[in-house]
Amino acid sequence: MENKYQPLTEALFYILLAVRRPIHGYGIIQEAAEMTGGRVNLGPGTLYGAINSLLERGWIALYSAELGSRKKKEYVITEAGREAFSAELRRLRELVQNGEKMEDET
Amino acid sequence: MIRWKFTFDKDEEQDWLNDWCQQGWAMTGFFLGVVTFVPCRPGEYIYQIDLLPGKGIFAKNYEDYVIFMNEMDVEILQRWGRWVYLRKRAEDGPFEVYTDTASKVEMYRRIRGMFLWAFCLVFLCSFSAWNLLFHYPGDMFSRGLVGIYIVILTVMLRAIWQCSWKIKELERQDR
Repeated sequence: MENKYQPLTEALFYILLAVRRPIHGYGIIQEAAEMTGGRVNLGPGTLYGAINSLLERGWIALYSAELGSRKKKEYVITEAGREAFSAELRRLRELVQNGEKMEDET
Repeated sequence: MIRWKFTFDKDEEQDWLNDWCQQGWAMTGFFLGVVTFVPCRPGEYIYQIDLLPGKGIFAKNYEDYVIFMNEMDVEILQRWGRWVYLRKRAEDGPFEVYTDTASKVEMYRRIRGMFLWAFCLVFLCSFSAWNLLFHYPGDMFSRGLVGIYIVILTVMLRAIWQCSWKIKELERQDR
């Protein structure tokens, strides 16, 4: 089942994590930077491309886009997005578990 | 102030704009290689150039891009086909449009695709000049025309090669 998904880039991983609740673009950048102590800094072009790609895949959806209002667009994860994120988490857990063998055996 | 700049390398042009800004000149517009500047505080802005997704010279969802960039406090100074000139105040922190390998590679692929499209278009247009040269081999006009086409096509090929090289370098560093 895991093979259904390609490993996520760090940008996609943190965007999916940030949209677990409705959030606008700037909020995603701030949250990714906060979670990683400033290591993952998403450029606006990187975020714009990633958001469009996730919208196309149906992994995130537009939460609010009030036409004519000044409210910023907000995005939220979908069921398909949660499934993809869980698959990635399982892959990463397996990676860490196997990686720890190195420390256990030395 | 007005300066002339003609290059097919967006990184070179971006560095050039940022150098001028460091010297107290902020770019405000671009038209056919003519770049206009106004005085600013040295290093007041950070400039970036981007190529929008789309086909040929037509950008896809430009309005969405504008709204998105404005939300990020990024100013869109000028649009030229699919090319956009962006800037942000340096006091707001570092500004780089693309921050990871995947999105940088994607951008250079877009640029390469655009140049490839332009190369094919110019190549097709050059047929009439080749035809002219074939019928009037000694004619200076047809020789000159073919010469101009060869220069343009070579410059475009160089731009395509440069993008391929940058993609290869980014992928090698990411390995």
